[in-house]
Amino acid sequence: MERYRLLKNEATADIAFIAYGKNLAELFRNITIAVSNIMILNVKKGGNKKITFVMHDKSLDYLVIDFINKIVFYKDYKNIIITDARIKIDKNFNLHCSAVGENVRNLKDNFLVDVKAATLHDFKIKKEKGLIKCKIVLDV
Amino acid sequence: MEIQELRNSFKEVDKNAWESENVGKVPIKVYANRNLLKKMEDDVFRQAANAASLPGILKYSYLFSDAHIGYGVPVGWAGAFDLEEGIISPGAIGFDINCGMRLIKTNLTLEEVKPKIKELVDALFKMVPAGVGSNSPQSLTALKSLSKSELKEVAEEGVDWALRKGYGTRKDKERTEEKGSLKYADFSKVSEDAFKRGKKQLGTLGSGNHYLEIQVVNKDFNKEIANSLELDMIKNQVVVMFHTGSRGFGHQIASDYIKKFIDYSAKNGIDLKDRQLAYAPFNSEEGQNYFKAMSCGINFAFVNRQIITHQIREAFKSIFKKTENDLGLEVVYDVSHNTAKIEEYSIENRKKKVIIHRKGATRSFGPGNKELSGILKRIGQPVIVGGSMETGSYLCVGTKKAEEDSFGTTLHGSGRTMSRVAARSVINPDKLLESMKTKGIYVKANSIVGLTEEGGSAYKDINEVVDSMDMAGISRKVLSLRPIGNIKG
Repeated sequence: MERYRLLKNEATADIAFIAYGKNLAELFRNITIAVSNIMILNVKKGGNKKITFVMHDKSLDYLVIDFINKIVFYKDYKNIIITDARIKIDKNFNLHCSAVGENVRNLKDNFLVDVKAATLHDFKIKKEKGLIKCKIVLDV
Repeated sequence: MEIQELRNSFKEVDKNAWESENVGKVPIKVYANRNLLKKMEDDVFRQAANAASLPGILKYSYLFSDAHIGYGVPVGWAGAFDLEEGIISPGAIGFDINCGMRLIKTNLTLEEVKPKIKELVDALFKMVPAGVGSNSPQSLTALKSLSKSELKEVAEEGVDWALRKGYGTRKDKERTEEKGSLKYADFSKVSEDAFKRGKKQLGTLGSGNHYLEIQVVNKDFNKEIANSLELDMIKNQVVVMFHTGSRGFGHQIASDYIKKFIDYSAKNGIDLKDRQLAYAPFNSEEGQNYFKAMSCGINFAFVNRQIITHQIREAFKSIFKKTENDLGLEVVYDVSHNTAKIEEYSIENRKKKVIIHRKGATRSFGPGNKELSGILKRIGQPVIVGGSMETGSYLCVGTKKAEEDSFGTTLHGSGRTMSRVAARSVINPDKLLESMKTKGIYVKANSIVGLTEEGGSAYKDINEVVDSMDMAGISRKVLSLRPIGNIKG
């Protein structure tokens, strides 16, 4: 199964993608992998930095947006590119994330573009034939 | 109104100025030639129509020749709102608060710079950090991790802070929009996350469409104004132009308040046409809190560009072994793109203060404006229009007509024609580098793939978008500038 797909004909100034997952935990993991690959060319999953955080939102839309914004936050605040994550989400949209990543300095030769925020522009999330699809536009 | 009906309703009311039917509270007004108007995407008009329905909007929802789809409203858009009845919206300002351009002149010529261009660009690349998650310059240890009280001073004082710390001159301040400081800034309205994202980012360029370029004066369209700005006084004069904003600090402020305003809408029964265009009444507590936080973002960006100016001066001094005075490194002007500010205009023969939102648009004050001082009072405010790294840029000036017709606003850049993902697949990196080499442009970038996203063919024709505004009388061309060295994040 494809983890994510970049969209060629959308987001004129920025970057749009669709992430996939058989369940929410997998969807959020694939979003993590998509965002890191948008910032760093061919970035490997893993790394020696570990980050754990919890978050809650009142809807799935905002949980996705705030989750990406948290990845962006650690990139600026701790200079860590989160490359992979183990996610647990309950039905009340409480999310627990155990993430791994790499210091930005070690990846500088493969920089692509700095993701600065996730937007609600044309945001879509739906389940089709057992697969969750989520479309997100990133401000870069 | 259906989108095709809306498109068909545009009538040319003046040279390169088009008005639609009323699409909400006001019509849309577009400044562009017929070709650019035709090529604008349907969503540009949908978004401009959404903005035309916002409470308290005055006269028009404006689009400029560089307009393309944005979040909430297009990039290349402006709208003025009544202070009492109107709103403030982060989506109508943009994530990168006070993303802007600065132009610096030198006394050097192409002949003097060309032999050292590689050395110069490499030095600048080292001294002005660019790329993903970049931190403040290594050499400026005092900026490496600002405390909360230090960042509060930066955010509330703006360029005055940078001057106090020795990063600039009084003349730099005079040549910065709003003199580099918005008095409404209140750091207590800024989140802890914004502080944490911004505390290591002063003096950094960022990535995407942010760049630093060494340019040469290419062609003059108004030599008298150029000379008044000490430009085009010598043949092949070299200048420095760069584009950056408020980095993670400003983005976090925008993200925080979009969420707050969506909650505000839900609580107050506001039916949003687009969540990205969430708003609050300007005079509400929520609206004022954002205005004060956003003003901190504006000030942060002014300081960011001032620190980069300091680094540029240091790089030139070390490469050319001359003093700053001999090099003539002076700020021509610094303009903002993504802002909301209180400005005064004459509406139906009455002076009125408005909250003017500019998203991917530049202030364009004409000669005599009370906000301008010195020589600018006579010639008008410089408008710096950045093009793609291949095709060059422009220096223009604002006009009285802009103040009368478009709330003193004009275009900001070329405007994109294709997405970054599309650009990666269409533009061949080797051919791009070869083409730039042929044109005499030395490029230093973190990633060649990243560079292709900014290739010239990903943008509209800079000449056409600038000419459109010149012919409309909203900003006037002074000089075209061509790149010889470029730094990309």
